[in-house]
Amino acid sequence: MLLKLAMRNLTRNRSRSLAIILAISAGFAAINLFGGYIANVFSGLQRQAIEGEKLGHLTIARSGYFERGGINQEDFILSTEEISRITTLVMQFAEVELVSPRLSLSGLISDGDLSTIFIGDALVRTDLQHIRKEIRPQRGGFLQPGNPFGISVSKNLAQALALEPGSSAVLFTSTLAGQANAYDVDIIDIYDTGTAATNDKAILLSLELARNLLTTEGAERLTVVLNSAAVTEMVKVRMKNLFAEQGLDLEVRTWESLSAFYQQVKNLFNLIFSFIFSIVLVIVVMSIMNTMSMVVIERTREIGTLRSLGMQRWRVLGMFSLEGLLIALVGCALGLLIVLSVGSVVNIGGLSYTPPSASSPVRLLVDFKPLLLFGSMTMLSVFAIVSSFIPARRAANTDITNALRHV
Amino acid sequence: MSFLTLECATKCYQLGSTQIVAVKDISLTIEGGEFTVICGPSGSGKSTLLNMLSTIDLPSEGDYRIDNTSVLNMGDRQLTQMRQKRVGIIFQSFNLVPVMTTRENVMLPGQLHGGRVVPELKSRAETLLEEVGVGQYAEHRPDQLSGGQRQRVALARALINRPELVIADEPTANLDSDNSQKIIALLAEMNRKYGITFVFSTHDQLLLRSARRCVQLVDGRVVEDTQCSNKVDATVNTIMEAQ
Repeated sequence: MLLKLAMRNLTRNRSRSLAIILAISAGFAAINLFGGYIANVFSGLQRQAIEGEKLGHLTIARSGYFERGGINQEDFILSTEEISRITTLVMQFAEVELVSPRLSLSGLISDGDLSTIFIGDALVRTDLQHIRKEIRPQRGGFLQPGNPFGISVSKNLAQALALEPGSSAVLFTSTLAGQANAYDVDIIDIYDTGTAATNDKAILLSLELARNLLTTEGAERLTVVLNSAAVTEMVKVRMKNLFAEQGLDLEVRTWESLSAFYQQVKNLFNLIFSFIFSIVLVIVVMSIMNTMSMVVIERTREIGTLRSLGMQRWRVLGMFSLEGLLIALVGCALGLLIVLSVGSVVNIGGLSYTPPSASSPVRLLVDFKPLLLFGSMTMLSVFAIVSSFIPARRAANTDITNALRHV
Repeated sequence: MSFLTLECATKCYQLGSTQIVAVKDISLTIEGGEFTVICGPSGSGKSTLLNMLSTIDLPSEGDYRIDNTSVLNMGDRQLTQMRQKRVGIIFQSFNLVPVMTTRENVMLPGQLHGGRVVPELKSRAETLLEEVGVGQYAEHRPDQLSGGQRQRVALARALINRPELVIADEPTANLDSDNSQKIIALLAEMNRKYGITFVFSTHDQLLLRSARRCVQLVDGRVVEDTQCSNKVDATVNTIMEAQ
């Protein structure tokens, strides 16, 4: 009975009901379109970090490497025996697809006439494809399995030194012991790192070449690729426990904690999202409270009648709260249609933009997140009930004789 | 033992800094099945007295007992339940819920009372609507009915829970004389047929003539309480014959 009454009461003042429903649907659409957009950005950044930056899902290194490894690299080098032992242990996890040793190095790259600094990322050539999967092959960045002295050079660096596939260059570095070392290398690919800040200094090289340049047989870290990003945290904890049981002084970091850019973008977007969500909530709460207050005043006499006919206070409270809830649900349902239609148009439209610090445009896409849709609907509904509760309580506590006299 | 007993009942209202005494020191007993009219000039306290009798308002002083049970000791929940079960109320301005159909309006107190199977309630509502002569308007909304038809619906609504007491505050005030006569005849018929106690206020001479008992108020006090048996039957017969 309450539901039927509440539904019919919504049609009493159609224009007012429509206005508040439209306000809620616009708010719901704003939350979910922006939420869907940032979900897509997060997912893109996640892929970029795991596959594009080749961080993998987990990175294993000696304790302290992530803080001091850049300065005292030789102190954190894992020997081949250690690498082998750790790999055997880690491969026991069903979720682990690949364990790959890695080295980082820096130095000078020269085309014979000009020299500039480089930052090198070295990895097992045959593992590269597994780590980067199918992410943006058009950006390049490949190594030849049969050529350990072939390197891939970032596009602005290649441009500065007039390097192109087929040409050669020299890499100058210091060995771990601090002696100068140099190797002739073949340029086999030019690639786009995706970030303007690294496109003028990054190179990709094979682990063998890096080992020769640094004169080491080991590696400074191991990159672990899992079968799903969702299990990253869980596997990390299990791995840490296993290493502790085995007496290995190792540290395990997730891709998320290693990708500062991802964290910064995520924090920024989360802040903006919270701000938008707060504004929408305030609009919804104020609109519903205002509307329900007007409704209670207009229907004071009716409330008196219902109370005098034997309607308990809680039913009056329920009736008005239900009206608030219905307004929110209809608003959210309309909002859902807006989200699906506008989101589809945006996704089909092929819009693109260049984010700050990015080297090329990215597609503007909106993900439809059922959890976000359901969560925001629930949240708005709860707030609708709460905001109609105050006028509803006033209605329930109205003195019957005064209410019946109300004009 | 009387059905309704008001004992030295006084009702005061606070209007700003002024205290208004609406009814003062009224003692009144009404037996079950009585057809009683409360009359008096405007501001004499008729509505306040009826509000107290229907339990939507309580005396500030004195006592009010229904079946020898004081309503002053009851909480809001108990009073509301009692109104659901035992009291039917008819308002001067009909006070039908505009978003409900005629039948739904009549069923409303029954649904509030609960515990009854809906088809049975629906059938009882239809029977009552037939009895009061608006059966053909069961699916109409109140704004599609005339004043007389609305008051008939209000009467059916007041009777749906088979109450022992029906309170009507000036039930014919917003009706023309023809409709007034019909409503009075209906009230009298329901009183005779079901033995329901009717207490109503009126200025309507026809209604005054139809009452078995007339309690006259002036300035919140009872100044006259007259018994006039069999008048109601004569009035009903007169009206019926005229129709």
